[in-house]
Amino acid sequence: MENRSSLPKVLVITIAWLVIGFLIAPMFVTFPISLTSERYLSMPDGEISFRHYQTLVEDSAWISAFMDSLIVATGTVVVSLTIGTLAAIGLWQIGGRPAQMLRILPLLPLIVPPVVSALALSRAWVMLRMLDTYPAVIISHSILALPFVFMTVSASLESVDKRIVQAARSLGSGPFRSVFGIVIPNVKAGLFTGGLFAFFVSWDEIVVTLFITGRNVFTLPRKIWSDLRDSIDPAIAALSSLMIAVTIVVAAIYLTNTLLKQRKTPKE
Amino acid sequence: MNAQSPVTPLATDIRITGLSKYFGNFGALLDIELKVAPGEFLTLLGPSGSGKSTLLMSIAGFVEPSAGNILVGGKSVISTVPEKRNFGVVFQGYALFPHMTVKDNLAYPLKVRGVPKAQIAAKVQETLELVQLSHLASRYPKQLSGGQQQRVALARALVFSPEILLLDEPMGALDKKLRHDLQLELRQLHRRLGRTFVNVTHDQEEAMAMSDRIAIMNAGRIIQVGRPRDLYDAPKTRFIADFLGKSNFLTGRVSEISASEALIETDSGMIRHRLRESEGRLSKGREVHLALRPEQITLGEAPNTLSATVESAIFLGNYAEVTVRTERGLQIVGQMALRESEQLPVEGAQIKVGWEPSATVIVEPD
Ligand SMILES: Nc1ncnc2c1ncn2[C@@H]1O[C@H](COP(=O)(O)OP(=O)(O)O)[C@@H](O)[C@H]1O
Ligand SMILES: [Mg+2]
Repeated sequence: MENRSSLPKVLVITIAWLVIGFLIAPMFVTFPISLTSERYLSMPDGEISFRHYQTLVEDSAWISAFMDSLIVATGTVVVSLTIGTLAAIGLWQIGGRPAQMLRILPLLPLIVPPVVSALALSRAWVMLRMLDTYPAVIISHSILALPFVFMTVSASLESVDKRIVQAARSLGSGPFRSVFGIVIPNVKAGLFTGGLFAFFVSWDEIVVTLFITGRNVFTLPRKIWSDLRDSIDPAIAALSSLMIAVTIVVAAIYLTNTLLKQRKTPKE
Repeated sequence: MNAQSPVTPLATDIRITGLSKYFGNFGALLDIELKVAPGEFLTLLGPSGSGKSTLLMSIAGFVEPSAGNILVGGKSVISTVPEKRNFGVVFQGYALFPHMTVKDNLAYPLKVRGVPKAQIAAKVQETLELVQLSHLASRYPKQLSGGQQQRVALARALVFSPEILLLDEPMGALDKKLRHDLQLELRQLHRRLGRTFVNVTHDQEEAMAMSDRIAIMNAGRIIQVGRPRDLYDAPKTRFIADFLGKSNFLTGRVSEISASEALIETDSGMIRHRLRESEGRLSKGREVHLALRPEQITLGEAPNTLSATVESAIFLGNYAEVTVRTERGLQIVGQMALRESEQLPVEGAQIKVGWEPSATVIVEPD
């Protein structure tokens, strides 16, 4: 009996660790490379140097790419969060079968292959003469981020009683105030997660970005892409290491926060 | 502020005329006519899906009727948005705001109306006392029991002194014992406030216990409106006779009519039926359906007597329930108090059951 249940358990744990190893293995290469003193991709040869990190901070091309990514990602968060949240709340209020059918619509960008989206979007922006502009990139990324926002907010709404909107209105507040004053505070967690997703969808988006940007909007992934093509600069390893570090810090803060909150759950 | 205090009697009447609501082709409400008197406690009673919530939400303004009118205090509210109707609503499941404390839930309608802060605090406190919840003011809804949540919902719907209170299955989520206590409480609250209450339930006991009048609904229509006692004693249709309490049913033809009684020929024999004013005139040969309450059945000889076999006899404490079947296959359920010396009939035994001519009511078939 014990054997029967513990063998698969060992198997599951082994597989889990293999997957984790597979996912984090690149870090053990990337980080050392970022510390090399050479000008090409290589393992540090006894000597450790932070020159590539210095490049990142000093080279204006890297800084401007970083700023572009920040602008686009922030814009994407704002746009996709607004549209995704409204769609989620709207369908939540409609409810029933019609809503279930419409629910597929905001999820479509997830199903369409990125290359197809990229082609369609580049055609569209050409026609609108908006290729390589911030609004075009922000809107394109927002379309890609929409499903994530929609899903997280919808998930949050699932545990909220639909009737609170009607309750608010019966108590004298208009439809707008009822939704924003009453519903939004109850889906904060979903908004936060959705916003985070949207930010990172935009932050590392490359396929669509390649098709719709040129000289004007030059995001980090775009810069990495073109740098990798003509020179293999260890600055890219430095950047990757930084991004991984930031991600770990953010995730750690987020996790401790949720854990703390769980511990603080109100007692009877 | 004092003039608006929740203990000042304030009441309005509601008049609903020709109200219908269609969802596509499906008629959820069909030609509803209903008057609710000022200060009355009226309950909409009917099985699930009969249109009670749709009717209540039409009054509240959340369902847009397909036809008809709703007048409150003589004025049509049909084109008034819900937030301007100024009715207190207790929703099914209460719909409390989860992110607000009890206090803030109650303060919300006052805040929306721009009431000054100091007045809000006083009013909230006063209303919390009314429902005996002052000690829970700083709790969140999920920290409260079902009964407490219900009272918060009630308080929130009353705090802005609406003239009309609409309640959609306010006891729906509570267990039976608690339900009973809260029914009495709600009834007392209604007396104290003197406002018009429209309540929705599918629980006939609840409806009987609390209401001045009950409107019985089925399949989108109001079938009968009346005081609980009148509805119980003189149900208009077979559906009501069975929904409000239980009934036995007999079918037969009128064979003779005198001034006060009719003889009705049924499969199981002739039955004497005392004529009632509410039943209108009967004609010879007409087919009639009779409802007969179980508690009207007695064991042994009576003006109407049937011989039957005992199918089951169960002792239920304050009364016994005896089910018999006649030779013709008619099943009769009787409920009777047993005196100390009396024995329960044995299953399979041949016995006589009977009832007074005044016990039967002619009902419309459904
Ligand atoms: N928004 C709606 N769309 C379609 N059908 C509805 C809608 N609301 C209610 N109905 C239908 O109308 C009927 C009455 O519903 P309801 O008033 O909620 O019944 P009750 O409250 O008496 O249980 C039900 O058959 C229900 O399915
Ligand atoms: Mg209902």
